[in-house]
Amino acid sequence: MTESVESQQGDGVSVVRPAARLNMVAAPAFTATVERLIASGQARIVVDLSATEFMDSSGLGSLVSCLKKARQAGGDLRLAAPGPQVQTVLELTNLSRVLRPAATVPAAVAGFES
Amino acid sequence: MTAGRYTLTAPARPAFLSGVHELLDTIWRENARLGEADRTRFESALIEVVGNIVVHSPVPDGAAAVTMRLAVDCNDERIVADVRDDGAPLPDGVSLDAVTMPEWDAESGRGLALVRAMVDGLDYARTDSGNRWLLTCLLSA
Repeated sequence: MTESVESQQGDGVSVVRPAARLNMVAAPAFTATVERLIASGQARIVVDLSATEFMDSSGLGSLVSCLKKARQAGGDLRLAAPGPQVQTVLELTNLSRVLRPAATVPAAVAGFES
Repeated sequence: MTAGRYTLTAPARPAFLSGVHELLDTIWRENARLGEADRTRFESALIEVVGNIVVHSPVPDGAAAVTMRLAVDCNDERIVADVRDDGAPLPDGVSLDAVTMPEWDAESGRGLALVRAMVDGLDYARTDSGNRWLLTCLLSA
């Protein structure tokens, strides 16, 4: 189960859907996918977590790395639709304040327009 | 809920992580009383500890892999993971009591801080045969 890149949304926002378990096994491939998007000029990224049941600290580190790279490229990275486990680890690590998860993908995409 | 013990022994390789998730899926199925919040913090903490052991157990060419032995015990009051490996000790200077959550822009270093935040008891001991971690979650009423 690898990550996938959804079709482009309006306003040049790319939606990336990580694996069901974004852990030390899957995180490097996820990071590489986002880095390829940024290198190709698509630095406005939504990470759709609706299929991600579990995330560990490697997955969190990957999200932080991708967020920093997106911002350095003039874009940003937003999270969408985190499940209960992902929400818990985001809150315990204080990352929900930085990564600001939205309830749905459309809501996260809309965040780029404001 | 009847008290139960579940075990998993395998090389300390990334596949062990999937084995832990599957073992916990079985435990959750057979112990329906365990609430989602308790399941979440126990699984998250255990995966961090197991992942740490896998990362720090490289296998040189021709050498035997580190072996990990996991035992999970649960009863009406608590769920406990006993994680043992026959690998190298924790590096000098690593203190569980000194673990803090890093700043937002850190790309690593959250694992043990997350474990500390999620379990009610965390113990590490270096034994004659390797390392032993004990994680305890007291169950919500």
